[in-house]
Amino acid sequence: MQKPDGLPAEIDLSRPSAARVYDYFLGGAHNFEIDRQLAEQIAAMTPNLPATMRAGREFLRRAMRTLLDDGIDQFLDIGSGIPTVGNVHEVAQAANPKARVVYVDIDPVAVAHSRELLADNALTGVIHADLRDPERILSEARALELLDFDRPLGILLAGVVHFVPDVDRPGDILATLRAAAAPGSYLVISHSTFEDQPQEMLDAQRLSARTATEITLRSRVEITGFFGDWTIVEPGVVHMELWRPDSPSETTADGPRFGAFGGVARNDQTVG
Amino acid sequence: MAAVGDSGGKSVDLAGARRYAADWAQAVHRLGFVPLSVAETEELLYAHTLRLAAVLLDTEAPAPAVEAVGRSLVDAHLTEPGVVEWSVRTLSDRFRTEVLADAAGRPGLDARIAAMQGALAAGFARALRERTFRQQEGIARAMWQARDDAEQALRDSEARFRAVFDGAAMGIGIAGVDGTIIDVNQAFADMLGYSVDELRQINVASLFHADDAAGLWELYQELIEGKHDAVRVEKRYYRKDGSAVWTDLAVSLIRHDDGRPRFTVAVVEDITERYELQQRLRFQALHDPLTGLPNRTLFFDTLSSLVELTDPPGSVSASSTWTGSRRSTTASGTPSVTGCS
Ligand SMILES: C[S@@+](CC[C@H](N)C(=O)[O-])C[C@H]1O[C@@H](n2cnc3c(N)ncnc32)[C@H](O)[C@@H]1O
Repeated sequence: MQKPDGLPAEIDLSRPSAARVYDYFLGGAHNFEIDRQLAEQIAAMTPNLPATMRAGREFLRRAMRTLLDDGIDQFLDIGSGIPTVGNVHEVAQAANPKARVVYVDIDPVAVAHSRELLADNALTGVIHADLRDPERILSEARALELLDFDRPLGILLAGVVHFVPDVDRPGDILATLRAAAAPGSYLVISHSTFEDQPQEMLDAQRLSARTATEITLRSRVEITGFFGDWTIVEPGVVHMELWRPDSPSETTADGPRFGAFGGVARNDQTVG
Repeated sequence: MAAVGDSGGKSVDLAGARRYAADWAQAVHRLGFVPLSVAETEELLYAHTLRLAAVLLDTEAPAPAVEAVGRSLVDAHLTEPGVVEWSVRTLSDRFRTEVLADAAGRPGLDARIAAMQGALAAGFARALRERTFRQQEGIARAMWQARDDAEQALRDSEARFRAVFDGAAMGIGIAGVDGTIIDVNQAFADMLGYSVDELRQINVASLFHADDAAGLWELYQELIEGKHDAVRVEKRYYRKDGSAVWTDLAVSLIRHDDGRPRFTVAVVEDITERYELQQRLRFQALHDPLTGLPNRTLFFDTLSSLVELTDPPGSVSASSTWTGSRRSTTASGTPSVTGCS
């Protein structure tokens, strides 16, 4: 059954959820046996994947830093997952207590959990919606009256666009989101890839299809395309751990271990 | 911290403590996910290093202060088991030589270090256990909440649907893909002279008018095969009393999540009166009102269609659907005015 908004109306607990598997890999306990079983299966096939997930969260933190340093004080975090550790609002509000964050996820349990956790945080909001319906995300975000779309904002799409298959036209979705953002806004994307990856990594990523959605691995070129005509900031769309590492020691000597690219772009268009 | 600084001035090697904290930070970053940058982690662990040094040089029972350090590791999300392993092990093999300056040789430190190791592990374990309980409870609560929300949303949409279904002036019928009627509203039942319960027992096919049945089944099949997602036609149904009712029928297909056909939904309007009026008007337009014989208009219409000009000017839009079946029965296959014959 589908609700009128196209979101599944039933909570299927017999299936692992991407959000909870991810939480497990980050060391959280916001997960159930079914999630941990899948997580262990994935980890057994490729010891790299848990590290990739951590690297994804670390990339997000570093990207946030860049945005915060450029004065961005409002964020739309789509595919935000279960608020575990190092959440966007924590990072943002630590730097700027007035920072506003709107979280969006398709997972009803992640959404319910976020709502409970953020109940007392007046500068945050949570939307239950599907990235594949960006108009709805934008209209609900506007209705919350937390974000000012006439001012620069940060759109965060960390580890989520690969859940959108090509038939759902991710390029169009990204274009819709970009069109809604004022000049000076930023777009942050991390996205799984098949480039430079060993076969077992690719197999394991396919395993994630056991969660509600399958993953579509994409090339660097495809991922770069998601930034449209925005200006991609240095060092470009690169393996996540190579994106502005905190210290050289954080990057690995043996080349790209992690199966995902990360990039940040800024809307440098002038109004009109 | 201030106190540590005071005592540290003499007995703690601050540069050594820095190096120790840097190694500690590197280790925890290697071991698991850390939401802080390496520099931030190092800052936090430097404070802990000084705290541990102060306890080691103190004479008070080490437990509360060192347990607090263990706890704060968990609070900072440094929860990988390897973190506590590293932290406990290095306390006895490196901490003393690297962090304690001239106090490294003080007597009794071994026993004190052992007590501190216990306290550190205990504080970590306790905090981790509590955190696990808290998070498990949180996610379970979120799950129930999500389930409640989904059920509520379902009830709401069910209630909205019911209101539309029950209150609609038009007949609404829902049938399985095999034609078994699942539910109809009162308006639908009234239109056909059955009770709702009677209709729930039967197959839509038995309501089709004999002349339209074949065409309707074909349409249903095409719908179910996915050739159309919705169709709209004017067709006849039988009433319970055997009389025919002309309907404007809109049928749409509801699919399962995986795309398989699940239900058909028919929205039906009784257009018998309109239809009959159209027929009357049409007849009057083409026949002499006194004699009932075909008039000149009909003559020229027939003539023009025979010479294959255009559709007769008097043809009503509705006729395009219902004359369709008749057209195909005319031998010539040419559009004709037989609709009013
Ligand atoms: C790998 S997690 C990423 C979490 C977080 N953004 C991060 O990078 O740390 C992916 C999240 O995307 C969500 N997700 C998957 N498909 C989605 C969709 N179509 N619309 C919105 N969220 C989606 C999942 O529920 C999950 O919480």
